[in-house]
Amino acid sequence: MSFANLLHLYRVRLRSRLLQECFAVVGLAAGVALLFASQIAANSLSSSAAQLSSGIVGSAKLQLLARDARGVDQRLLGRVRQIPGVRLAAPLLEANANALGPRGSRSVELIGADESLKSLGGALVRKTKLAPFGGIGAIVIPHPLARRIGVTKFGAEATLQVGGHVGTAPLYQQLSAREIGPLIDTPIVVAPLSFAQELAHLPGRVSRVLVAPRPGREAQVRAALLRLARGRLNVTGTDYDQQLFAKAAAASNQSTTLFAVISALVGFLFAFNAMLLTVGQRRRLIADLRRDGYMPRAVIGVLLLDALLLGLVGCLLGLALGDELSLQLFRANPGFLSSAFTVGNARVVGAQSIAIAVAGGMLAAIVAVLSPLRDILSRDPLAAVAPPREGGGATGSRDASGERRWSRRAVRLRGAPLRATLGALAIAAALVTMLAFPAAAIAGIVALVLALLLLLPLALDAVLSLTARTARRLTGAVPHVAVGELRAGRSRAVAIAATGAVAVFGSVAIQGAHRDLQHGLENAATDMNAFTGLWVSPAGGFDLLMTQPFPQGATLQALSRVPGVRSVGVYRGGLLDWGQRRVWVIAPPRDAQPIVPPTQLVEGDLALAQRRLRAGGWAVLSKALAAEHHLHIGEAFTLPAPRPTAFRLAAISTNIGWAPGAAILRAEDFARAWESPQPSAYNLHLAPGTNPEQARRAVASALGPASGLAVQTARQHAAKQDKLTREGLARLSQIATLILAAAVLATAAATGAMVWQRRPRLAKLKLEGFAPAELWRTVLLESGLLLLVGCAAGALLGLLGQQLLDRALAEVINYPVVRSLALPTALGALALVTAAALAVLSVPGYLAARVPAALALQD
Amino acid sequence: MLELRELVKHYELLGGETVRAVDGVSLSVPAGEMLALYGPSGSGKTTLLLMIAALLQPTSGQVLVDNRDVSRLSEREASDYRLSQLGFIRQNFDLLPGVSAIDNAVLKLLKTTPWREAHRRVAPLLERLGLGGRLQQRSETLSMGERQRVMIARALSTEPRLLLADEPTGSLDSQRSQEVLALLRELSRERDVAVVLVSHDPLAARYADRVLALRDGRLGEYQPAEAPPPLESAR
Repeated sequence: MSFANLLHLYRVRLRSRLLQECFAVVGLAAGVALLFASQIAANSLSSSAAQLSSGIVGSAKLQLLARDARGVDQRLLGRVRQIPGVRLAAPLLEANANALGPRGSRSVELIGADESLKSLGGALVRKTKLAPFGGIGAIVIPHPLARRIGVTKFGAEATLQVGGHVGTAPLYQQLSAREIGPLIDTPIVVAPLSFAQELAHLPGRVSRVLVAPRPGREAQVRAALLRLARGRLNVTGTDYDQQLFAKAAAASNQSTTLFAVISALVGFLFAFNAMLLTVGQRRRLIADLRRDGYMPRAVIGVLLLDALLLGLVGCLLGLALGDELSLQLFRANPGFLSSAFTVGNARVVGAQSIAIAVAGGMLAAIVAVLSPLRDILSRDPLAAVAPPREGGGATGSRDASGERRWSRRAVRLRGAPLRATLGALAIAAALVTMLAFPAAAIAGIVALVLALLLLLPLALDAVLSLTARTARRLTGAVPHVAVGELRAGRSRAVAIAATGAVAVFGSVAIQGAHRDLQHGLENAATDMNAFTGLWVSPAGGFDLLMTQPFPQGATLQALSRVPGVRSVGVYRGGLLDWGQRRVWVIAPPRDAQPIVPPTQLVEGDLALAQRRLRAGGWAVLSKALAAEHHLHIGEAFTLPAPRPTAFRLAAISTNIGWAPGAAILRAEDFARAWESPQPSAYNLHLAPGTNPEQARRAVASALGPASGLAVQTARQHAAKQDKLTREGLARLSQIATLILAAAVLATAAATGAMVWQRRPRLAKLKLEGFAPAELWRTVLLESGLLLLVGCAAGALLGLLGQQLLDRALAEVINYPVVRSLALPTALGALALVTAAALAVLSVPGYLAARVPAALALQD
Repeated sequence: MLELRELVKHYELLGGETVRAVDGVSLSVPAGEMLALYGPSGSGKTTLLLMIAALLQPTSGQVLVDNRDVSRLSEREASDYRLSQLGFIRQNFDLLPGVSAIDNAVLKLLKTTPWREAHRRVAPLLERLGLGGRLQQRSETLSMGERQRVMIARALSTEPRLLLADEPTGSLDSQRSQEVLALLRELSRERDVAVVLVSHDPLAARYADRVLALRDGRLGEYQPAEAPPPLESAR
């Protein structure tokens, strides 16, 4: 058949089935939207970090990195440029800062660079003025940041708090999206190098030197840089930041990937359910075409065009809907990661996300449209409709249709043990993954989903048998009809139940693990604030981890004189790039009580570890870090600090809520290894009976507004950490809620459509004396059974999924997970989906039950 | 048993035209009689059946079943009437697939009777209809004739006084049609049930006690287009 004829046939058929096709398109679109939005969310954070990195480094391939915030002597740049094979070398100063303006404040990354950085061609600086403007320093900021802090006019001044210093900087230029593209949402302040050094009080210092070697000379240049570094600086590729970020964001990315997989499955089932609505009509078309002499190949062509057009419209609609969803609900939130990485909340829509979503949608359309493939290929042209035909004699030999259905049932019955065995094997595989290979958690989850889909039909059969048996003890035809109808339309029933099951499974598993993680992180935050009454640290959002050093000056004495303050301890902390991890180094004062957070210890003796840490030369490492360096308690290792220093391992802890890992040492050891006495915070111990909030106000007043330091009570700091954790994890809750909502809509719509298509049969039951109310009850019972079986199975395996994820979070990323069984979450999701879908369905169910009985006589 | 008095059903079309689907039909069918009603498509047969089944309200006139006018019943009363006093047999077999013959046959009775008791009461009826050996067979494995007999068993399961049969032989070949018609006549006499059989099948006239024709909504004499085969060859 020519393409023009195929199109014509499609057009004339469309008139009679527009409503069904529209529903199928909506279902398909919903599935594609879920998949697309979750893909965007999964890729946005990493892409945002990668864009910033490449926007700065341009064509540079190597970099010489300082190991702490104080950077390295700028004179090193001259020596780097002298290395044979170096084409270009550009200095860069990066510092955490807090930008303030008349409208508000925002934590930013201060980037200082000179014109040589432009030569590397990075998108961020290509069109930015990096030379001092007539000797006057000024800053360049992205347009959204300028609006947020209210510094938008040329020459308007912003205040910058950097490392306990406060300075002002006039605005030279706002960067637009046209100039820096997707980096527009990244919180950065760009300044000429000398001015940035002045603002950060780091004269003559740079954080890194970017190096572009001549072609073919990279290895030679790297070797020369290593010699220059003398083990005190890091020599890495310019993609190092991306690697560090990937490691830090691994947990978040894995959870989003998991959601993407579950969203994809729910979306696929949604689309598949919708497409099943049109199967009857397509079966009739197949029979008509085959009867008219069309060969199977031509019939497949007709159906593929159906799939193509349906898929195309559904995918376009789905992409638009998914785009909106990702804007409204799926916004990436870097949470804690923003304390150590400059990440924008840019929404990055990659070609890969579009391709995956479209592929998923088209696959659903093709699979659903070609579901009667066996009938198309059958020798019997009318196999697709299998019309009832007179078969045997009075004693009743089976007719052809009955024979076929009977053999299908026989196959189904024979398949049950196989299905049960495979389902049990899949569960066993998930359990083995949980116990022996927690790193393969996603594979374990996929195995559980597989088990769910394999076992669901068996569960449905079992529940239907049980219902039928129970109904025999009751008077009333409603349960008998409901069971009979569900058995009659088993394929669709299983598809609907599977939609609810997968959604509830995903929601319970991930929400449960999310809550356990949240509790664990709250415990960690409480522990990490237990040894102080007040925190005094550089102002800005970067104070969450207390890693920004500042000059001690006369502040210490001033603080110790504030009424209510019993003593002041010097806390030091930092971020140390160790291998592929940006490790959080925590260094409380020697007299901190407790110096090792008791609930975070996973190996070793707490009292002994505390004694050893206080004695000096000992450190506590998180489990993954210790394992990566093959360390056991008591063994020695060298911490790659600015001054590489030997420590012995006192105990092994969780990651204290920081995914890449943590190290705990005493503050004095930190000063030795970092070759700096600068604190990153003060711990103020309060006299007994002192009100922390009053003390906070007194300390803030003593410091004055120009100090660049902020004061928080321990409780406030813990609450801030909890808030950020919750915000970072909130996306998981939002997506889980959305998946549940999609499941409610999908199951309600599919069940509603199933009921609506059955109106002639309901009309026939009216002829038998069934009242509308009874028919309505029948419809609701059918749907209730389906949803309950699906959601209960999903909830049950979801609890197992939660344990699997908990173990992976605890064992692989070492999060301080408080393990529990998310029964309330499971029951909540089960009740929500079932009740909401039934509520939505009740209206079409009621209308279907009011079907005119005359319909029964109009075949 | 059944009495129709000046039964009228008119429909107003959008253009203001009135369709007289049933136009002053009066007839009575005593218990134990089988009445065959012929008529071309659009003659009002289905409308008449719907009114007798209390599924459609007449424009005027009465439908008396055991001297009770069923044309003005409430929805619940009408359902009860169809359940307890009426049996409906159709040419399409409304059997639940995947469900056994006997479970399909008891479906209507289950509304008022426990499952075990319903089975006990319907099993002999199915045996009487020649399905004794196939009670547990799933409906999709039954032949068309067997399915029609399951439908008859379902219709008779509540021991109705009135049986409406709408083209009951429409899907059957001639041999199976004759079997079903003979069965209906036997059951009508045996159980003292009034049967109104609406059909196009000329065979039906041979088995009916009385034959009428419906044309343009009015009752009239039946004029057979062709002579039906002799009764003996059908048995």
